[in-house]
Amino acid sequence: MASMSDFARVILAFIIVYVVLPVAAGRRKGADESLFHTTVRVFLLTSAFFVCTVSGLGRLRLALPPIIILTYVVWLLGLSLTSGRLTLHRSGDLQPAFRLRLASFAAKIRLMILSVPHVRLFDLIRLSPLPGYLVLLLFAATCQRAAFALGNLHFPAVDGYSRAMSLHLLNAGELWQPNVSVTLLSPVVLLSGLTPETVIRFVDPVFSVCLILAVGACVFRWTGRLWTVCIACSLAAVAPLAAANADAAASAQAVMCGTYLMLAFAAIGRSSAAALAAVAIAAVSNPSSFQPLAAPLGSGFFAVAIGKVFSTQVRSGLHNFIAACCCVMCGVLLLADVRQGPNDGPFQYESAARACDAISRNFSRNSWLVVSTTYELPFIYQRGWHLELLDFVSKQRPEDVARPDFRFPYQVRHLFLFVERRPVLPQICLNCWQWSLNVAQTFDPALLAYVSPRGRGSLSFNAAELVAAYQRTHDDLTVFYSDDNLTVYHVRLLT
Amino acid sequence: MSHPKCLHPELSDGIWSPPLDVADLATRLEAEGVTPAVARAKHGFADVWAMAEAWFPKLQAVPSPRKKDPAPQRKWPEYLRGMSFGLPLLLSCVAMLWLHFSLWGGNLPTETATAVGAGSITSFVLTGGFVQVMARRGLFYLGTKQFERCWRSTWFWVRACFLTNLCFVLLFTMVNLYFGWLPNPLGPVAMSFCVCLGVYWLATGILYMLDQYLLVSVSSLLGISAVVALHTAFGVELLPAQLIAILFASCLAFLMAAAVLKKRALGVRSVQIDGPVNRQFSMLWPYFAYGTLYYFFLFSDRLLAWTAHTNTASLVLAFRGEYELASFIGLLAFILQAGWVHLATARFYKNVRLNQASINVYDRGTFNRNMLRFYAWQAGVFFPAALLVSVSIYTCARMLHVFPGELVDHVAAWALAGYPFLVFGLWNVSLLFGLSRSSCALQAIASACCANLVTGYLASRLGGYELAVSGFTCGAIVFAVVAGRHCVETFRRLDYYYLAAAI
Repeated sequence: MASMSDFARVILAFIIVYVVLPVAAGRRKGADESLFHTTVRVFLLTSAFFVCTVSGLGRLRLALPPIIILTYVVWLLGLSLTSGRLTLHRSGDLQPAFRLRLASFAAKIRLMILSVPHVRLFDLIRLSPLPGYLVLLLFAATCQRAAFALGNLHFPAVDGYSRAMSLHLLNAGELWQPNVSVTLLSPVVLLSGLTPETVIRFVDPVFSVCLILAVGACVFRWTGRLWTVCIACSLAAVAPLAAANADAAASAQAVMCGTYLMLAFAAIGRSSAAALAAVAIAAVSNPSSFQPLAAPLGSGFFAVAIGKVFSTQVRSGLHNFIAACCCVMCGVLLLADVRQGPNDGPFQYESAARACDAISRNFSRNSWLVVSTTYELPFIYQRGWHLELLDFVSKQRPEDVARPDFRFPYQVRHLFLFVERRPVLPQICLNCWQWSLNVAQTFDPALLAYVSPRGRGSLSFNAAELVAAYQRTHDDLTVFYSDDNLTVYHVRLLT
Repeated sequence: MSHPKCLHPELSDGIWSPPLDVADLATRLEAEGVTPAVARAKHGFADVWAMAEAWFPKLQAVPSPRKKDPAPQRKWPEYLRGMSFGLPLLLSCVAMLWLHFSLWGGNLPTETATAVGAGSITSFVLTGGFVQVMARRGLFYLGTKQFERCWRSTWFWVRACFLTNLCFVLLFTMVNLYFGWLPNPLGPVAMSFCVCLGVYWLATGILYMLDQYLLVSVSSLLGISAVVALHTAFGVELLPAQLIAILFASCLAFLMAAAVLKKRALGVRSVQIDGPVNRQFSMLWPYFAYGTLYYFFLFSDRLLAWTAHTNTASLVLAFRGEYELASFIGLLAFILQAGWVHLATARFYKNVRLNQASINVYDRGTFNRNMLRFYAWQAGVFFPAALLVSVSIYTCARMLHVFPGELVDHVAAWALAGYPFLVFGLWNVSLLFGLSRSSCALQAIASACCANLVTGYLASRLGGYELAVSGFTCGAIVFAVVAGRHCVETFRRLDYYYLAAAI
């Protein structure tokens, strides 16, 4: 339930920041621009704005919440000015004009509230059923894409951990690792009120659905026909099912790149600035592989092609029927494929991530220290302290901790020690080919300890040995969490 | 039948002078409500002109009542009156030193102190605008002896402020649940203090409006006594005891204010017509905005300091005791300097009346130049004295080893440097309000807030949290400069603005 509400918050924050407010500000007054084109244009321009601004502020270590909010407000005001919704003129009539606007806005709200009881549900969408099928398809795609994120706290790829940490550091005004998706998500974190790792976890499915919408937008731009949009979206939605073993890390970046590429095609001929912005974002997102994009892009071009070829040769009723069937079949396929994915690994047990979440929620901020591998850090950053397990076992000796007068030298009230009973690597990650390394040429002790099977195993063994030695002579150690894979020990330090 | 007062010098409280001509007398009669119909029906004349012509010869022979010599202006009582707002603060400091707690605040854990501090600051910001507006309308009605309307207007603004506070508390509770800024029970503690202190500021604001400064101190003293009784004698926990005592002190203050108003209203009947609310709002919104922004300006440097570099703290807000100590030292100087505002404003009104009476209407330039000279003289006298006060307090604090460290020393120095500018700006704003130039005052405080926020935020984030005080000093300087500029522009055409303010 908490995951569902967090997911809803991320979606809502994303839509408000990138769609609702910019469209409200950027809708050209009196001009002949459809809502669809306005949405595409302002979405792309707002994305480019955030990429540039947040990157610049991040370099100055000033990407702090009030500054980002202020720059966003300035952006919205700028959009309003350029769209003609706001005018800057010095006159004595400003106060009466403002009061008139306020009065008319209040009247509109009042009319809206009064009209709600008189509107029947289906009158709200005075359209053919096709948009309804499209919405159902998108809902099914959202469920399928978000299944892993809803059921798991940990990330399926190392990219998730690094992006989460980068977002933490960016919002805290620290040195961060530049990344396009991180700059785009900074305002979403602020508005959603969630932690960066939660936002990163849920935003990958959001961008996957955005890719489907982007394919549809591109097709609509070039055909203007809803049935081709339905076919394109259906094919784009089921394409990843065919690539069952796609690399998750490569997918996330590639999906974002693909989304902006397709939106660039959708903006061509309507707004050159928006199209250029989209191409620039796609270029700097720098995916390691374009393979995951092949199917969605292909389905888009295929839909455009059949739209151009068959639009006049087949009756519209048949078009709509085929499109509806496509949506339904693909929706069923997506719902059938809903799976939460492996619960553990390849870098962290799910229980370790959940333990970190429980500690963050149940203990006061910064009153506790977690001793674990690096992968727990994004789940506790800015809420508690973290000490690398390697540093911990290097500095403590069993004979020292076994002394009755020994006290851990940490100025916190609670210490949590994560000990893997079964090291995460390499049993689970059998296909982690990218982690093969040449031990003779690797000087990083952390890499050896965390990534190599023997290193991870010996680390866990040393930690367990320390715990056993401490437990013999101290009674302030309890088990906070335990299962077959992981045990979390809790030591009360300061009272 | 009752005759108009202009026909009876003995009823005029010493301000009557013989009419210049028949037209002057007719104007006076019409100003007292004698229309042609009234002149015909009640006084037996054909019209107002006939009545004036009949009475004019009689009144010309009447000598003007002897005018009383204006009482000499007493400087020190006025100065002490200006400083009297600091008496409750002094009582709180004594209580804190002696008992280790006061009407709010005390020896609390850091997190609880943060919540109480946040609630206190919020109560100031939320009620500031309402108190300003309530006082503006109340003083107008008191000055025109409309005590019943004063009562009703004051009560209206008290209710409006209380409802606003409640709405804010509800909104903050929802937002706090969403963003998780203050965990339980700190959120409810902060909001409780916000509501209770808001009521207390309203009650004491009414007493200040009625010039009952001593009664404010009395209510503060009784409130502190109630905390002592509840916490020490009855063993109630400190926070609930303080909340109860604050409400008790507020009730006392309300009762005292009601008694004073009722006493003044005895035997005075007033018209029971109220203007439309939207017209009142359009007149009063600059005062409301000023009141809100003023308190926001006063406390924003604290908020910036409390929110800077809190990555290692237990909350996103962290109460900084050293910063508070340094701010308190600056506040001592502010109390001593602020007494001059009352004195200088009283001098302004005395000077403007004297100049107005002694200068011909065709010599307005001289009037404006005289007043501009007065303004420059007051500014020239104030700044050296204020700086001397700041330096003296700083020096005394150093000699008495009040500063526990370099940080407190640094913050106190910046605060002491900024308060003279703040006081100067306040004097300018009081003149601007007196001359009904509220938008100029609003511009000054808005500019000050922007300067405070930008400078304080950047300084505290790029440097240490103690650098937030530089925002306050910068903002105070901007406040003084902008308000001073508007004042100088006003004084250059004082004849026009003084007349416009009187209409």
